[in-house]
Amino acid sequence: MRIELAGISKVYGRKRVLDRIRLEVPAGRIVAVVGLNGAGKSTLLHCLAGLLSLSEGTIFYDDEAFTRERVDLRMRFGFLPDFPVFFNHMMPLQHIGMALRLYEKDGRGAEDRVLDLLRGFDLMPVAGTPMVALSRGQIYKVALTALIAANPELWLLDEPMASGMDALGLREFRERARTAAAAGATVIYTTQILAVAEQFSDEVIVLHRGRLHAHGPVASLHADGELESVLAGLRETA
Amino acid sequence: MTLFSKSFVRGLQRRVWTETKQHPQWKSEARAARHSAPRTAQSRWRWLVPLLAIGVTATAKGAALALPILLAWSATLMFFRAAQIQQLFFAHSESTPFSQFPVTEQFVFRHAARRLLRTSLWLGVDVLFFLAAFAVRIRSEVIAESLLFAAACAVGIWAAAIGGAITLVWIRPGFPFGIISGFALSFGWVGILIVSSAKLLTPASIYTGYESFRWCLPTGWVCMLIEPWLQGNHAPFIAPLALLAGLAVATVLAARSLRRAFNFWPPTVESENSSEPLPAEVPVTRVSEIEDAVTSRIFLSAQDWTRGGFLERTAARWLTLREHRVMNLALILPPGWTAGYPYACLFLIATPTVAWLAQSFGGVRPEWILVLGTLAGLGIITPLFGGAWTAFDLVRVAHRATAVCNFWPVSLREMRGCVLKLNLVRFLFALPCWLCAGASSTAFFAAPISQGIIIAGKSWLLVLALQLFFLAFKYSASTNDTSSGFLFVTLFGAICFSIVAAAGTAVFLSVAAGSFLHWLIAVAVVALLSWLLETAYRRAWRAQQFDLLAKSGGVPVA
Repeated sequence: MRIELAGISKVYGRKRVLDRIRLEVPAGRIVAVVGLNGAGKSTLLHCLAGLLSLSEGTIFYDDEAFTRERVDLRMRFGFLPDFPVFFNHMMPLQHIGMALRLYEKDGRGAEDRVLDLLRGFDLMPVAGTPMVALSRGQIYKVALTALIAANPELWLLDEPMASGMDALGLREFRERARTAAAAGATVIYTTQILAVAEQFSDEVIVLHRGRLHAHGPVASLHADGELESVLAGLRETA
Repeated sequence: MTLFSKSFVRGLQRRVWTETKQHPQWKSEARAARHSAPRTAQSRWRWLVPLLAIGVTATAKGAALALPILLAWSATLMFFRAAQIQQLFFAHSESTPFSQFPVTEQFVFRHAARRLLRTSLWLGVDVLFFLAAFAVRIRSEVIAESLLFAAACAVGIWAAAIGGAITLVWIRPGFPFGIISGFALSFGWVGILIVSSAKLLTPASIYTGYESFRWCLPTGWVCMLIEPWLQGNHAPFIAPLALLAGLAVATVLAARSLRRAFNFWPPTVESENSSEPLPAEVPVTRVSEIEDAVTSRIFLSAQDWTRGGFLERTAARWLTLREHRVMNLALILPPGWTAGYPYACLFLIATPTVAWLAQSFGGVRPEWILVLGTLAGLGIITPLFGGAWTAFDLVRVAHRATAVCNFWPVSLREMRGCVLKLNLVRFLFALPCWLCAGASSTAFFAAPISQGIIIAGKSWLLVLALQLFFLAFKYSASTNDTSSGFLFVTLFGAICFSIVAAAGTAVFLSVAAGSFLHWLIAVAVVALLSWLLETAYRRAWRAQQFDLLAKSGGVPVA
């Protein structure tokens, strides 16, 4: 899915949390959003997911303006906050089943997809256990499984690398995201772990005080090719 | 014992600000951050309660309502405080932050106790405001004495409410006091509106209700003591005094017991919303069972709400395939609509019986038993306030709260359509019960049964007409409409609400006048305003006028 942000801003009182951001992300890219604390990373994701209203500007998904009532567009993307939302009494299988029904992806073949994901994320032993009894990492894996099973064209993930998933889960996530991107899906995630952003992204968006500081492949952002140098430079300029 | 030294914090603030001022960028950031901090303006509306109460009792006819109002108000607040005690001392959400600091349990307990006392002081202040105004009006010749008396009474009401709350939590620690107080407010409003509009509820009957209930509530015992002075009545004196002394002893015992039971260490697994104890170890389900559940596609239809019963199945017939999918999110738990009918019937049969027994053996006309019992019975089978839908449940995200449905590809229009369809079915099915309840109530009052049926039918229609209004409130709970400077929604809502309430009252007053046309116009106005409010709010929602993230007070972490 191609994404275009046409000068979007988010203002709280006098504070511009996002300030006239303009950028385009072609389909099939993995994009890491980085920045110092309070840069507006999560706000950007919440705006993209429709949870926050825009003070100005428009978000276009495949050249179509996105609003909350556009369920057709909403069904083409999945959003995972840093603490996924779930019903305590539900089992992972029920949660995944609910997601598939709401995304209308519960046709024949869904069961194979789900089984494959459950095995990949090592969720088979706990798939019949109430979600409330699972660890934070396991819950994130369940939510991620539901999202991937629904096969959206855009993945919006808030801090997946700090979600409590174990090393195998993180590896599985990266592999699945790569496969989805190769098939044309766009993956946008926020992270504070710069080493991950450097290795696991086609493009990086650097936000600073709500403004778009830089956007492009990591190598193009700094002479030494390290994101840490980019962020350190931001604080020094303050 | 304070959490921090104010002088230390002030000193630090000064130094931080001095340094911040030297960096222009920091300075502008600090100013912007201060201006974007959420404001808590809702608490200011609290002053409307004593003002409203003073307004009601200002007339000669309303003077008799001073004590009933005081009793109802303080009783509701007592339940609110009981809920607060549960939250402060046992919910762990308040004390969890302390677990990362080297503090003793005693420190945390005292902090919670101070917080309870500090936040509940407003109850005494509000009551004082009301009592002082009332006492000065009726005893204008001795103003100083009146004020002194009002202050003493306010302290008494405050102490009785807090003591009662502590004792209640001691007796029933797990009781849903918050829900009770919420229902008391909602049912109280609707009940008073409907019954007073039908002219069944007069100041005299309200006072009768007060006389019945004052013995049941600790604040009622204080009311009995101040009755002779305030109303000129000769109320019992020794018995309430003895009861208050008993309450004082019970409060001390309860406070000690709560202190012993207090444990601020939070549970290791998030289990605040689970009523069942968690297993010691997570049971590992056999992998083959999971594979079977997936390949047989059982997992896709595991929570089929239509299996609940006849009503659920009938309602489901109205829905399209897409609406079925949406309802899977809106009704995660079986709604129990059909299962509620036996309970509702039990309430509706038991209520007149209990009322008759109270009248026969108690010698009083227990209108309140009839009103509350009937409303509770009808409330089980009718979605009086729009119904309960899991899709509108609030969860905490990024330190704020939002509705569950906002995370899924479901539009508000879809949710609204489904909710209205299903609510309409439930209303239609409940209509016979409403009519029967109306008939039996009027028979009790020795009034013509046809009048009861008419009143019940019109009450049913009024609540149905208000469904869109209640639905708008459900959307509003998960948005920042009132805290983001989006004030016109609040004002518009308040104005519409007043008009709707007034029009609703007019509907019933016109019953007495016997004018069918007046009644028709009034109900049309109610329906129209309800629709206008919901449409305006939905348009604002669609136009992204506000965020779908509200304040997270009390909402559990997702």
